[in-house]
Amino acid sequence: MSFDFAAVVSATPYLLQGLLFSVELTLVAMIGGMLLGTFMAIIRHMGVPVASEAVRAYVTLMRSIPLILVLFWFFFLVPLLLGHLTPAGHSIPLGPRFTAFITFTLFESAYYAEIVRAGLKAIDKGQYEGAKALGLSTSSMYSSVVVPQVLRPTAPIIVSQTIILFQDTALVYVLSLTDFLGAAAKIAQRDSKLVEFYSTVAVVYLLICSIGSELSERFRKKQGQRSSNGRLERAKRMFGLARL
Amino acid sequence: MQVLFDQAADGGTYLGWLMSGLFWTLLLWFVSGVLAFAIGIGVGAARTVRHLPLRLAARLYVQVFRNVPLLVQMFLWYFVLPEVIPTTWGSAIKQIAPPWASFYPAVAGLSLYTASRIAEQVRAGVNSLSDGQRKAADALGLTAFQTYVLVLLPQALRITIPTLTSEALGLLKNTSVALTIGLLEITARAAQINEFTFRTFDAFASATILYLLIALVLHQVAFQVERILRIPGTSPNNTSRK
Amino acid sequence: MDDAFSTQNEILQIEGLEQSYGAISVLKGIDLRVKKGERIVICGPSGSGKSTLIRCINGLETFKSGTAHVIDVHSGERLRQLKDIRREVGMVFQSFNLFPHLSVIENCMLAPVKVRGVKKTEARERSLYFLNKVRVLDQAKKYPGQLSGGQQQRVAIARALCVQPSIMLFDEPTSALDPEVVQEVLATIVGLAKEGMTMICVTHEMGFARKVADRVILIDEGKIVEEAAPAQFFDMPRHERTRAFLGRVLHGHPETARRLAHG
Repeated sequence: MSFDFAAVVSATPYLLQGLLFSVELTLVAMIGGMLLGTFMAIIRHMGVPVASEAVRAYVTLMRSIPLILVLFWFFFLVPLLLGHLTPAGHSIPLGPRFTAFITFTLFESAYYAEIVRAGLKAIDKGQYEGAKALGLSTSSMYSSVVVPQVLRPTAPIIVSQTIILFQDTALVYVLSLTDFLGAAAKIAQRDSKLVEFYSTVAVVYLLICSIGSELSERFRKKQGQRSSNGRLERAKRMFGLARL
Repeated sequence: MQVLFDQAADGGTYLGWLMSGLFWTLLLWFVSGVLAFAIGIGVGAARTVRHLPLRLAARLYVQVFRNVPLLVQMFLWYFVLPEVIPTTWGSAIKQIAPPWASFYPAVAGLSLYTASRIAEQVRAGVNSLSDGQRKAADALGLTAFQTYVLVLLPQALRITIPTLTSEALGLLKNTSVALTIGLLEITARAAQINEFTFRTFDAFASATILYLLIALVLHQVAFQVERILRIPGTSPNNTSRK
Repeated sequence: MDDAFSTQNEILQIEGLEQSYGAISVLKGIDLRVKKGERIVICGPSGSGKSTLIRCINGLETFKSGTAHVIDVHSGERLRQLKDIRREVGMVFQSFNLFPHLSVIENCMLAPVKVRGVKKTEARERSLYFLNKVRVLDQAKKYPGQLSGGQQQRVAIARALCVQPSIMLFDEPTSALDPEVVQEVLATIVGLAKEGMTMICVTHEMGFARKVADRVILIDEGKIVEEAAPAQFFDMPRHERTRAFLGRVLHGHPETARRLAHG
């Protein structure tokens, strides 16, 4: 059985273009998803009437149906919806790329929202009380006191969710978009070199995702060491002091 | 939603198409689920044993199968496997008629991918048990295998029931990926109905409703299972009263 | 009985305050008036509602019925907005509630900047002033996790003072501290009292009460049982329940009994 390395090598520029799109999509969805997700998590945490129920329904819906189905929904329906909104009344052909950006952002925001919400609940109630007693407004309380404290412990989970997101971007295949897998598939089918290209894709994803997870692990361990609480705790243990 | 009852190209109704998709989704879900569960428990337990080679092998498995997207894994099983194995086997595989030709690779991809995720949950569950459990089992003379089957895993699995439920839900959603290798499950059928009738909203709404219903049933079943398996003296979060 | 003179200088007016959680009634009609400069100590058995009472004052709990008005010292008007009330009422918690991700000085500067609109440079100076006052100035750049419990609580006091409130509420400020550091925090509060800060302090520290309070109040089962000047409260309590409470409190603490006996 022969493995045609040369074919893969010569296709590298095209593959890299596809990989670039995968990375772009991941970054946009992560940043947009985190912003929207944090906003939704705060609304639910605060219990804003009507809005928090709407958020709950949205998050449950997005987390219960397959991403492919969500992609189909948006791909077919968003242009129609926008068409109704514009005066012309035609459906606007949103390029598939733009649809993908919006869809992934909205989809991932549901997952990030749950992660952040768990983090908000985990924060000691006293923090909220201390901020309120000082007279901080709700928005100051969340922006200066609560959210900064949420991000540190939830960072590892957010990172692993982002790695899952990166893998999920491969699903734009169903929209015939040229991400990394899409690019490889196009050439593989054209030149009948399925084995070479699909194996390469697998190996590259394997490398990127395992390195990403590994870095996140290391970073998390280093964070645990550098926090001042950690130092105080270790000092206490070292000198056998039950309480300082 | 009336469109569902219209005549379809093959003589049946579109509702029939959707039901056929439902059948394949459920079949794929169950078969992959059972396999993933079995393999996942084994690999997860293997990650916590003292025998180093076994532990490393399990770690390697998880690294590989977690870090390659499911879609790519399915492509490997469907497109690549028949090419890289001895030609006689390869041809035999290519002879298999659809839909089974898509079904088997889908099962392989789904179960091995999901097993790697379940393995991590099981590993976390076993590691969260106090060291004393193993020591007590040792003191009683149990072999390593017995320790796992009789002492560690029963407790670890109860701890991980909530996460296993979300894995089961994830598995349900992931069955849709099989449409890329030709399996006509729910989402594939919905897309087909859309192509033929242009009733986009109806087609995809029906698929959405089906998934939501299945998820609802799953949650109910999981709740009952957790209730039945609960150890007396522990709370729903499985912390024993001290 | 309320003529213009006696209501002058009142900074807190509580009438018929009631609070309950579901079916359980925690406060059953509290009446309390506090004048500017007064130091009130509230004590009582656990579950009596004393913490609930002061948390109702600054709106951390919304009470079921009755009124609790904070009066603006300058205008003599009742403050209506919650944000104004919280500006005038400072609170120190049993568990400090310092913000762990901010340094000590950042903890102190946060509220003046965000709530009172003070410029950063002025807020910094003010924070340094109050940190010095509670004698943790040398810890200004450190983070709460690096400080001892007593230091953290003193920072919490400085943080509350930086907003320049007209009345300070202390919710069992030393209950979570190790015995060795209780005195340093109490000394800080005594210092504040001597400077004329109006305060309501919920505490078990009877020696502190005797030294500092203008009035000591016993709350039991949601009602005020006894309210008197320390001398009368400790030496000649009128009510049986007060005597029982003092007996329990002092029985477990012979040093407290000695301290009370010798003032």
